[in-house]
Amino acid sequence: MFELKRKLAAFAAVTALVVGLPVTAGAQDQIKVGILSHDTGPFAQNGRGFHRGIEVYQALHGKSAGGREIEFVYRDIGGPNPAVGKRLAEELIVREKVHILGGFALSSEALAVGPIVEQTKTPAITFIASSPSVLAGSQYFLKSGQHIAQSSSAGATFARKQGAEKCYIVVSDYQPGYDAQKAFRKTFESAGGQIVGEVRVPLNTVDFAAIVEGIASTETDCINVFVPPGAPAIGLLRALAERGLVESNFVVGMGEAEDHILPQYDDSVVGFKGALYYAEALDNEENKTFIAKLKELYGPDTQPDFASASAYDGAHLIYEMVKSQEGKDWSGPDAVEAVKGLSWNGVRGPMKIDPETRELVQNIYLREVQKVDGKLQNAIVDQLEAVEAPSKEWMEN
Amino acid sequence: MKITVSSTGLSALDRPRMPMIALVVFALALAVFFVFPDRLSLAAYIGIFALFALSLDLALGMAGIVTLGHAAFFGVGAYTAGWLALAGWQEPITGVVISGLCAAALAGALGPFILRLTGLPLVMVTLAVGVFLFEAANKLTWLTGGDDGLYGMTFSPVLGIFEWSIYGTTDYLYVLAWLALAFYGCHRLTTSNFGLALRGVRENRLRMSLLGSSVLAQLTLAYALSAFIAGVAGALLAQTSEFVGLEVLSVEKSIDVLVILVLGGVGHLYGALLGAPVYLLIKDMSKEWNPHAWMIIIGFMLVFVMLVARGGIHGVLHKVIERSRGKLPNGEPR
Repeated sequence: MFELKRKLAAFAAVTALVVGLPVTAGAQDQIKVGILSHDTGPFAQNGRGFHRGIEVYQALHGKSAGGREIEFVYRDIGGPNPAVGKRLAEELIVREKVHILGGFALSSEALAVGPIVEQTKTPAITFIASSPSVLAGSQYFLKSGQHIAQSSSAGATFARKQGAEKCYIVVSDYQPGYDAQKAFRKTFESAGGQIVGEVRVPLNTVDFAAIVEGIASTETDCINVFVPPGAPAIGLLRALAERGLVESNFVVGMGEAEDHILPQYDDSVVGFKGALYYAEALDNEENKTFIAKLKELYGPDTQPDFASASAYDGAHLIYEMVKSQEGKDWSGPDAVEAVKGLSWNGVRGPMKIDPETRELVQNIYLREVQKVDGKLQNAIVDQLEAVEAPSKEWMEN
Repeated sequence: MKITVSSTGLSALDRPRMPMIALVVFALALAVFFVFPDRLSLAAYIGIFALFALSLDLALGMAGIVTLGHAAFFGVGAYTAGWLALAGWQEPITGVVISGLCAAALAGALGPFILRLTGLPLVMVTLAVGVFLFEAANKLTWLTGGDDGLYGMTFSPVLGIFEWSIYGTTDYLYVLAWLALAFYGCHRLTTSNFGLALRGVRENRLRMSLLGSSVLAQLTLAYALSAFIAGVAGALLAQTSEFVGLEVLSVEKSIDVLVILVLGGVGHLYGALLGAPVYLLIKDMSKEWNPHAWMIIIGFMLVFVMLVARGGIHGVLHKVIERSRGKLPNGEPR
């Protein structure tokens, strides 16, 4: 017993020494950015996008801005676990002494971290989290992704432009699905269209035969879908195609069939459309440079996606914030204030931070899966310019 | 047939006072407060899971209730604490007690029905209850916030003195106090007549009922007590993170806590205290080093525990200590 205690005491003393040593903080010449990422678990695809987007940005623009070196520190949340996200954010701020937070694949993570961001006045940039309530969590939140209704409503506008009259909505049965469903329905109806059916399917559904049968027996010319990419999206699109609905309807979703997931589909996906704030095929200088560097760093088969594009544009926003504080003592709130109203050309085209709402004003692209030279790829067939996020009141009523 | 009450540390029966080792463990936990002042949020998180594992140990280790749905009570506790705070009841300690009582009430209502089952059917039904609650919480977004979670809650300082902060000082001591209290309670329970009766039920249900023991009532009471502690752990998670995410009700949580308990040692109160730090520290350290490694490490540890060290970490430590004292372990299960 005594032996054990003595050993434990010695062990504790040694660990204390080892842990206590590296307390040398480079206070002013370095800005640390903590990225809440997903390196493991179901959202690892997004986490990989975060890493790549940021690394490509650093490869192109160097590792310092405004006279300060910028260092990124990553933490893996590893699944849907906002409590862990909050703890990791606390550790990033307390232990790593980060000046800015970034990442946030899920809205629940941003909502959980909100109070700390507010309390410590740490600017935080959400790359993907697109729930309408995210920015309300703290005045120091900014976005490099989207408001979910921007893409959803744009999908409805595109459908009406193509003359769609009767639309059926299929969404996954969870909060983002409800938000997407509501935004689509409101926009479609206010533009004079009619919603002929709506169905919410459990999150992990892969067999959509019964649901598609229900749609087929309804008179429709448009189908709006919102399901997670992967097995559910593949299952739904295949079922729709088998019933001949992809040809006879304007089928519009969001990120279900990005270029990098197209190899998982067969030809039945041809004709599927997605309304999103980023498109791989965008023909602008930033996007071309981005994709070239991405392929150089990670191999010629690497495809960009909305996660890496958001991380890239988010990294730009971070660099701009650091630049704004050049020659001054670092102040998070001042940095946020400085980039409100900022507009720039991202890989997604022109984008602007609305100084009032802090939401992004950006283009939404209508992409269509086409088969070119025996290969599936998304082409841009239409776009809406400078789309603003709807107000809170619009979303609630 | 000779009844041998095994693996629960019968020696504790002879000594109803808290054994020395408990004091050492809690002294070490308190030392963490001074040695790692910048890691207290992780420490508090570990404490919460130790508490959750302790509650499972009460059900599984003591009473032999094999369950894969214990997160149901953890989640009910967490949501109750969240709802109370959002409704204006921000006093944390009473909040925890009320949350624990709600979880216990649910267990008390379910117990008489599901505890008639044993073995695989019991596992399936507890799993089903867990999945049902998870889906219900996902659907009832007006109540739970669904996938976005429940947010915007604040809690008043503990005892009106200790403010919450991002350094986790209050969080950790607060969690540790609850853990110590629950551990003491469980210790008293296992050394009581009731605890002995539970062990009897675990070893041979039929014989206990033939002895005139009201098996179902005892199991239900144990289940409710276990749920109370799980609810307390859930409420503590809600209070320390000021947020309740849907994942508190997930099947993964139920499995996580089972793995923690198996690693630490089922049926020993210390199993929960040892398993939680080992599991969560490996998970956390591997995240900074190589995030993909931790599943492999945990996998190997589980295989090791299953093959050669059935008593988990506690079992191994116990043997080592007994050996060093020159005593051979007696009555240890193989």
